[in-house]
Amino acid sequence: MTEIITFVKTGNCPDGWEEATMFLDCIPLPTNTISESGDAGGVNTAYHYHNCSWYRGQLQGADPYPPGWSYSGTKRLGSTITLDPKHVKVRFCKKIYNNDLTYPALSIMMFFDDVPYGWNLLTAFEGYYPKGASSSLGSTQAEPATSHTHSRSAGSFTCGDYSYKYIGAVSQTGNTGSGSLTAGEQFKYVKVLFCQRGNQPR
Amino acid sequence: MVMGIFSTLFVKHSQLRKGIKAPLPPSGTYMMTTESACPAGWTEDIDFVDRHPLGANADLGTTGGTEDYSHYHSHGSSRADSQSYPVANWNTGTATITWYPANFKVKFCVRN
Repeated sequence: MTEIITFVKTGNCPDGWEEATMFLDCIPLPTNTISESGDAGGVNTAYHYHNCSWYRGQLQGADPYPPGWSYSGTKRLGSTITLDPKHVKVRFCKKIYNNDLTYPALSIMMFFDDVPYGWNLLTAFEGYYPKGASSSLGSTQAEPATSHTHSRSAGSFTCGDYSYKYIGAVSQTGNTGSGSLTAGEQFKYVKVLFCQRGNQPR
Repeated sequence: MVMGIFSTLFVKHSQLRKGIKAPLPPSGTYMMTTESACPAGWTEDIDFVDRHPLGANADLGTTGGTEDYSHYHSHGSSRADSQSYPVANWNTGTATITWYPANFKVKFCVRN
């Protein structure tokens, strides 16, 4: 016995269907492991960081290169980003499925618990979230690399008990960095079995 | 009564022989396809182009989210040598980070 999952864009689930509240704030994620279907997890935050470093330069308001000061160092700087993938809000619905609804050949539907008779598990999509498209259908797209560069401008800064003004002679590096999910983590998901109807619709 | 039972069985048997199928899914429910068009009786919903279906129980049908995250840093830091003087506002800036989940592309079709 398996449950079939669909969604609606307005109103409540149809008669005979039950709202699947486990999908709140989640996107269904294909799995190839039947026992994993229904598992929920993931995060909606990413840690974004830079390894920032700088070295000796000239400071206005003080002798150049005061003795004993090297003005060099590195530090990892970071903060958290809230992720919000482009979406349409929908209500997910489920019901017990015994091939008691007629889906056209090659339809793709989501299931919990098992792959129904007459359907085939789509194994190529494991770990990829479904996304609407009008071309390149069936293709996959990896999460993007998130290295980037910050714009930078001169400005005042303080160092210890002294105030100085950055006048351009101080060299800095480290304005590039990465912003990505922690390794191994994914956006908030509920794992389901994505299956395609065979060529003989029932 | 016996005639009634036979009559019912005969009708069901006739339906099977004629290949009468199970009912269609309810109107307003969705399926996906990687074919070039949605099947007869289903209509492509282009609101989903470049978007994911996100579970909700309010504001259904509304779109949102982004792939461009504008992010600001105040690169306050400190020296790494033994004279650990604080350095504030050393390096600030804003960057746009592009991010989206790994995905596969489908058409979302709604039952007429």
